[in-house]
Amino acid sequence: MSIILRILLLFASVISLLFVQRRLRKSSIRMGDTVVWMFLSGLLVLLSIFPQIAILAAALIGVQSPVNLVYLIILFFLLFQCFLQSLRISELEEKMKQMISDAALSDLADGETNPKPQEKC
Amino acid sequence: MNELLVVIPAYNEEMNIRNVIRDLREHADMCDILVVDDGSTDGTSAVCREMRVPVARHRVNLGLTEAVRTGIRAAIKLGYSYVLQFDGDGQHDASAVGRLLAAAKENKGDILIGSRYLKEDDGPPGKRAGRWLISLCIRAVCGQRIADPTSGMRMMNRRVMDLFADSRFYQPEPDTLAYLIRRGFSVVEIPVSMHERLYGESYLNLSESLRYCFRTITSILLLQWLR
Repeated sequence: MSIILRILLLFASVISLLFVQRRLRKSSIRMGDTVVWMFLSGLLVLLSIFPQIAILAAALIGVQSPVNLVYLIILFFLLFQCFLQSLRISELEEKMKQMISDAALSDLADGETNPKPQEKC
Repeated sequence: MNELLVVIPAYNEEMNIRNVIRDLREHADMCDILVVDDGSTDGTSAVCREMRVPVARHRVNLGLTEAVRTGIRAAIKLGYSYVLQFDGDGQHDASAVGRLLAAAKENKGDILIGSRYLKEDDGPPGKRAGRWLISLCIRAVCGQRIADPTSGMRMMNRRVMDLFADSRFYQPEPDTLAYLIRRGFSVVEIPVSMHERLYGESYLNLSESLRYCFRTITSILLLQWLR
């Protein structure tokens, strides 16, 4: 990995660490959700300070250039995150629909302005 | 209490809903009516209350599928044996309700579709093409010809109501028809006549229709094997 790339990586990961930490302090993100981003930033800092790790791992796995391995790791990580997000959105949508439907039904059950469906139409 | 609850999903239908309710009262007195107001921003709910028809109101718009599901859940809670999904835009003909209920009671099928295209083939060519394609897919997957899979007039018995009410995988949509047929439910079409909608716009405009068609076909052909 070139020295410029290392500096860039270091710079970007430190900035993102700071950003996540600031968000956390403003409590606009939950603690649990920051862990994974902290972890990624930490990994990038580590790799930019000790590129030997990437070089060694690339040689072991058989990836031609260490920087490709770094990209691969980031890519995999992001895809996985993306899938997890989809999962969470689905769950949230499902809960929201259930709640809105339940609210509508309970209004129907105790609504004073609402005639009961039992009444002949 | 009657055995049949007619569920009318309505989104901004204050112009049409009055006529729909009047039509049902006139031509289908063997049923109870429930309007599911899917977060309308107009006076849909107010019109229904004024006409003394019960309304279940979604606080935000969730879409047709969820509106129907809420109606089905209400029907189960109140102990109805059959649910008929009935459009709030005046397209459906209330005089068909009696025939559908009679067919349901004779156990003609678990799902009865009020089908316009058993009689004559009309409608705009774009819609026809989409319907033909969906119909073809259903036929390819489960071998049954359904002339009007997109019809919004569906009668279902308790067995089907229970499925639709609880699981997120079952939706009262055409792709589910194919899945249900393959699972051994019987789906039967009953010929009905329909009107053009009176006022306002349908849920489906062109891009929505294309997306709907694409999603339905993908679901029929691919996703149901994974269920």
